[in-house]
Amino acid sequence: MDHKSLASVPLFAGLTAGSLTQLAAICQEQTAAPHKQIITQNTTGEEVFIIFNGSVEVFIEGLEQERVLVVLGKGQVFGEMALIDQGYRSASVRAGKQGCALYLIHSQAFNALCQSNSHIGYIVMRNLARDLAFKLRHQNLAQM
Amino acid sequence: MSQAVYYKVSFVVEGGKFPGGIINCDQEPLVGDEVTLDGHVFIITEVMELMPPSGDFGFLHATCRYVREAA
Repeated sequence: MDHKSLASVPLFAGLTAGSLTQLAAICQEQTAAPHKQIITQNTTGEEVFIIFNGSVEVFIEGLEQERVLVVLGKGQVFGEMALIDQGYRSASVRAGKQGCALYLIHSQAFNALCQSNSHIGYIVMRNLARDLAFKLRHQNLAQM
Repeated sequence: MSQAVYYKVSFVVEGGKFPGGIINCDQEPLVGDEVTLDGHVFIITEVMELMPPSGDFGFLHATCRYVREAA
């Protein structure tokens, strides 16, 4: 993977080519077959996922039924709350009908990178806040 | 919005049957365009700015209506 493929990801907007190269070095590629579950609600996890092909469904599992909250496609990030609160996964995520290809970043590797380069940490955390604001605004409109 | 290179777009589907989605687009979505979300094809009926643009990114919201299943 080269840094150019990360340049179109909003989470990494504003980073220099050098910073993107550093980030690319800690990204792992992963593919998921159609409908394969990637994240399970109420479990722990330390990875952040970036979709670079295909889509995923984010859904809440209730006692008797599940509810799909949103479909995330190319360039979107999920599992990012693990970077912030280290809490349980707030929802489940599975690959979409066509499957998906992902970049995966372990929070420990990301935190180590941010400690060694606080500029990357500042930019990514700012973008993460913007991403969460975007998702909140989307959810508000989706519930109207 | 013409200065943006990438568009992060919130799609909400009329009627509530489909959950909607968030995807990146290389081109600004316009009313009348068709978009495919996880195998479903929708037509865009409204586009608005959801958040101010930042850097190369524009942040838009589009309302759309279900058309058909993708081939």
